[in-house]
Amino acid sequence: MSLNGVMSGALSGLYASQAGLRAASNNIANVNTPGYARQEATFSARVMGDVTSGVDVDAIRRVTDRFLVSAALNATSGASGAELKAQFLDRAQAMFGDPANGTSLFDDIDRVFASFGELTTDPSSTVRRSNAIADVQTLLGQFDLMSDQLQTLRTEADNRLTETVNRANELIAQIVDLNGAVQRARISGDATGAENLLDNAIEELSNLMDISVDYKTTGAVEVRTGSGVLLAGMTGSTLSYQSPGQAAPGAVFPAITITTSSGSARDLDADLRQGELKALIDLRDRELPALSRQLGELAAHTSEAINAAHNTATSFPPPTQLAGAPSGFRGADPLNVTGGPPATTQIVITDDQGALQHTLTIDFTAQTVTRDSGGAPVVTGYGANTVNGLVGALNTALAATGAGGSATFSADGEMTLTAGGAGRIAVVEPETNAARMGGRGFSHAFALNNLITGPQPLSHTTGLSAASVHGFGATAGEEIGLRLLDRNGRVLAEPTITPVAGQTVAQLLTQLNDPANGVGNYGTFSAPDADGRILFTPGANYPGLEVRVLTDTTVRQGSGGNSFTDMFGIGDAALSGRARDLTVREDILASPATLSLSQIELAGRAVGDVVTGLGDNGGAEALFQASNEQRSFLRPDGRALITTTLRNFAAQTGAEAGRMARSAETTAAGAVSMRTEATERLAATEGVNIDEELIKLTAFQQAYNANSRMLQAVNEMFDTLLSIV
Amino acid sequence: MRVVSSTVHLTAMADLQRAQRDLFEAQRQAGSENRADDLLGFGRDAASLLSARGFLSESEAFIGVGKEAGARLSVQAVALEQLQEAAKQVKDTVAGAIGLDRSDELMEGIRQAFESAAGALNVNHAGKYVFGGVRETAPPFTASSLNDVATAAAVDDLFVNAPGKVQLRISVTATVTAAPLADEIGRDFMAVVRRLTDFETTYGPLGGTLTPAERADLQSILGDAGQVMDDIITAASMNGGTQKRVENVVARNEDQQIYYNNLVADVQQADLAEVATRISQAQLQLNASSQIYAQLSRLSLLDYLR
Repeated sequence: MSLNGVMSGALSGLYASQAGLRAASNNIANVNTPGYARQEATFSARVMGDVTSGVDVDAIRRVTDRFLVSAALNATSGASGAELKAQFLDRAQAMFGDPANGTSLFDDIDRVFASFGELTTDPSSTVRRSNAIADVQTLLGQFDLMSDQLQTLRTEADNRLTETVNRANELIAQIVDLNGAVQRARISGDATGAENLLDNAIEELSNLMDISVDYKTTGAVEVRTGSGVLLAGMTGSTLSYQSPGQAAPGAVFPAITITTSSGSARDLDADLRQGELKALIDLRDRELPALSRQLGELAAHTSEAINAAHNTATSFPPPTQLAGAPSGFRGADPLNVTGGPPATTQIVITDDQGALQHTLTIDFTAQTVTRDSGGAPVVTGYGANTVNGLVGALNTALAATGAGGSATFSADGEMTLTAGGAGRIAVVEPETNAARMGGRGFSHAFALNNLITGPQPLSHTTGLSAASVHGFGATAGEEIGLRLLDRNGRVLAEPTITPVAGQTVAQLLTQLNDPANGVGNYGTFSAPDADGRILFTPGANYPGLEVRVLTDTTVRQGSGGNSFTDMFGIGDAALSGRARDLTVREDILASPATLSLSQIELAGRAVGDVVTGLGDNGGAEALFQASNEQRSFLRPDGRALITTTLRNFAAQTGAEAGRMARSAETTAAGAVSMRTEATERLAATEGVNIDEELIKLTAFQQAYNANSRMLQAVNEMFDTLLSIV
Repeated sequence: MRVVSSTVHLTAMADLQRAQRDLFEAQRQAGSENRADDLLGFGRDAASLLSARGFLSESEAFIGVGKEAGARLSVQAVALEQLQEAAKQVKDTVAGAIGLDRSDELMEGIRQAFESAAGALNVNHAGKYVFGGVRETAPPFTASSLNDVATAAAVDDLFVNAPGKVQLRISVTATVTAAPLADEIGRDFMAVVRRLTDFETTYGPLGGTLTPAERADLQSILGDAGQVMDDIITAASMNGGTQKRVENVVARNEDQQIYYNNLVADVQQADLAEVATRISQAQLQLNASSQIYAQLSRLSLLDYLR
C-alpha cells in the first residue's frame, strides 16, 4: 500500500464529507420550503480489484416515499375540491338572508301574508292595500334577485373553470419540460432540484383534478387522470374548454375536452372524480341548479297560492271585463274538469253598487248553463266539450240574460268575459263542487284574475289528458333536444324528438319514451295525471339520471306559444326560470282599488240583492290563509310530489339550502383533515429536522477534519522520508 | 416517526388559529345573542326556526285582527245600547200616553227615540258603517226624519245594507260575524215607529184624551214595542258574546305568540352562560397554545453546538 493510496482515500473522504455537508446545508436552507423533500448523500466503499480504496459518493437522492406521495396527491385533490364546493354553497345559502333578524326571504313571505291579514279588518283602506301590494312586489323582487345571484354564482364557477383549465394546461406543459430536465440531470448526477420542481407541479395539478403518477426508472413521470387518460409524460395532452360566458336558468355548458399529443380528443367531465375542476362542474351543473329549482318552485307556488285565492275574489266594484292572460289552453282543447259531480262554476253580473243582476251557473258535468235562480238550462250541451264550445255556450247564456255581454277566446289562449251595458262581471267558485281544471279553479285556470304574472307558466299542471291533442309541430323544424346524463355526468344519450302536428299527448309521450329514438332505455315520462302533469322517472339501473334540455323549439299554437318543456316543467329553464321577472298585475299596481278583496256570496241571495261591497273581506281572508292551503310541490329531485302547506315548504327550502351548505362544509372538513394527515405523513418522511441535520453537519465536519488530518499525516510522512534522503 | 421542524411551527400556528377562531365565534355569539347569522349556522334547526317564525308572524297578524275586531265590537256595543235605550223610550212613551190617557206628548217622545235609533243604526267606526254588512260605505238606514218613515212605501225600503255580513277570521280555525245588519236590528223598531206615524195620520192632530179606539191601538203597539226591546237586548248580548269570544281568542293567540317566541328564542338565541363558558375555554386554549409554542421554539440543538 502506497502513501499515494492513503492520500487518494483521504481525498475521497474529503469529497464525500463535502457532499454530505452540501446535502445538510441544502436541507437546512429549505427547512421551511413547502413540498421540499430532503436530500441525502449516499456513500459506498470504493473497491479497486479486491482492495478497498476510499469512499464513493453514489448519489444525492431525495428522501421520499412514492406510496405516501400518491396518498397525499389523492387527499389533496379531494380536499381542494371539497373546500371550493363548501365555499360556494356557503355563499349560496347566505343569499337567503339571516333567519334570525327578520331580513331573510322567508320573512318577506311571512310579511306578505301578514299584510293580507291586516286587510281583513279593513279591506277598504287604500294605505293597507298599497302596503300589501308593496310587500308582494318586494317579495317578487327578492325572488328575482336571488335567482339572478344564483346564476351569477354559476357564472363565477364557470369563469373559474376556464381559469383552472388554463392553469392545468400550464402545469402539464411544465411537467413535460421537467421530465426531460430530470432525465438529463440524472445522467449528470444530481437531479434533486428538477425532481423537487416536478413534484411541486404534480402537487399543484392534484389540487385541480384527481391524478395518478407513474414513476419511470429514468426519473421521469407519467401523470394520468384518475380514469387513466395520459395527461403528461414525455409529451402532454391539452385540455380545452369553451365557456359560453353568462349562465342563465337552464343553460347547458359544453364539456372540457382533452386532446392527446396524437390528436385524439374526448370529453373529460365524466372522467373527473375529485379536485377543483370536478367541484366547479358539480356546482355549476348540479348543486346551484338544484337550489335554483327549489327557489323556482317556492316562487311559483307562492305566486300560485296567492293567484288561486285572488281568483276566488273580485274587486269592488267588480270590473266590467275579466281579461285573462295567456292560459296555455287552445280553443280546441277538451275540458278535462274534475270536482263535483256536478262540477260547477258561476259567473255573476252585478251593477256598480254590487247588486246582483244575473247569475250563470255552468255545470261542466252535464254541460249545461243555467240562468239566475234555476229553471231550465239556457244551454244544454255546448257542442263540443272544448274551450271554444264553452265560450259559445257562455255567449248564448249571456245573450239569454237580455243584458248582453260576451265571451271570447283568443289565438293566444286568452279568455275574456265582458259584461253587457253598465254591468260588472265576476267569477264565483262555489264552496262545494267547484270545477277544477289542471288542479285550479275555472277563473285561475284561465288566468282571469291573477294577482301575480310572470313570463312563463308557473304551474305545470296543464289540464291536458293523454287523449288531448298536444298542439306542437305546426311549423316545420320544431324539435325537442334532450341530453341524458348519469350521476357522474357521463352523457348517455342525446335524443331529439320531433312532435307530429295533430297527434295526442299520449302519442308524443310514446315518441319521448321510445327506446331507440327517445329516453326509453334510461327512464320514462309518465302519462299525465288527473291535473295534466307529467313526471320523469329514471330506470332502475340509472339512479341519479338527469335530463337536460338542449333545445326546445316547439310552440303550442293558439295557446300563447308555450314550448313543450316550459308547459310541462321539464328541465332547469322551466323549473328555475319561474322565480324570474314576476310582477304584480299592471292594473293592480297602478290602482290598489282593483286588488280583489271581496268574495261574492250567492247562497240565499236573489236578483237585486247587494252581494258584495267595499267592506267585503272574503277575498282578503282567502289571501291571508293561502299559505295554509295544502298544495302539491315537486320534490327537490323532481321525481315525485309532496303535499304540504306553502309555509312548510318555505321552511323546508331554507333548511335544504342550509343542509347543503352544512353537508359540504362537513365533507370539506373531513377531506381537509385527511389531506393534513396524508401530507403530515409524507412530510414526516420527506421533511427536514434541523436537529438531525445539525448532527449530520457535525458528523461530516468531523469526518472532513479527520480526512484533512489524514492528508496532513501523509504529508508529514513524505517530509520525513524526504529528509532522510 | 420523524418530527419535521417546519411542522412544529405549522402545528403550533394551526392550534393558535383554532383557539382564536373559537374565541371569535363565542364573542360573536355573546355580542349578537344569536347562535348564528345564516341558515348554515342553524343547520338542522333551520326548518323549525323558519317554521316557528312563520307561525309567529301569523299569530301576530291574528292578534292585530282580533284587537281591531274588539274595538269595532265595543263601538257596536255602545250603538246597540243606544238603540235599546231608544226602544225603551218608545215603550215608555207609549205606556206613558196610555197611563196618562193623553196623546199630547206622544209624538215628541217618539221623534227623540227615532233620532237616537237612526244615529245608532248608522254608527260609523273608522269610516265604516258597521251595520251595513259588506256594504260599509253608505249609511245602511236612509230615513232622516219621522216623515221619511211615515211616507216610505215599506219600512224595508229604508234599509239599504247588503244582505251579506262581514266575517272576520281571528284564528286559523275561528271566524266571527263582525256585526248584525241594520235591517235585522232596526226593522222591527222602525215598524213600531211606522205604526205610530200611521196612528198620527189616522187620528191626528193628536192631543187631548184618548178615544177607546186610540187606546186599543196604543195597547197593541205597546205589545210590539216590548218585543222589539227584547230582540234588541238579544242582539246586544250576542254582540257581547262575540266580544268575549274575540277576547278569548286574542288571549289564546297571545299565548301562542309567547309560545312561538320562546320556541324561536330556544332555537335562535345562544345560551349566554354556555357562551361565557366557551369564551373562557377558548381563552384557556389560546393561552395554552401560546405557552406550548413558546416552549417548543426554545428547544434546539443549536444552543448547545458552540
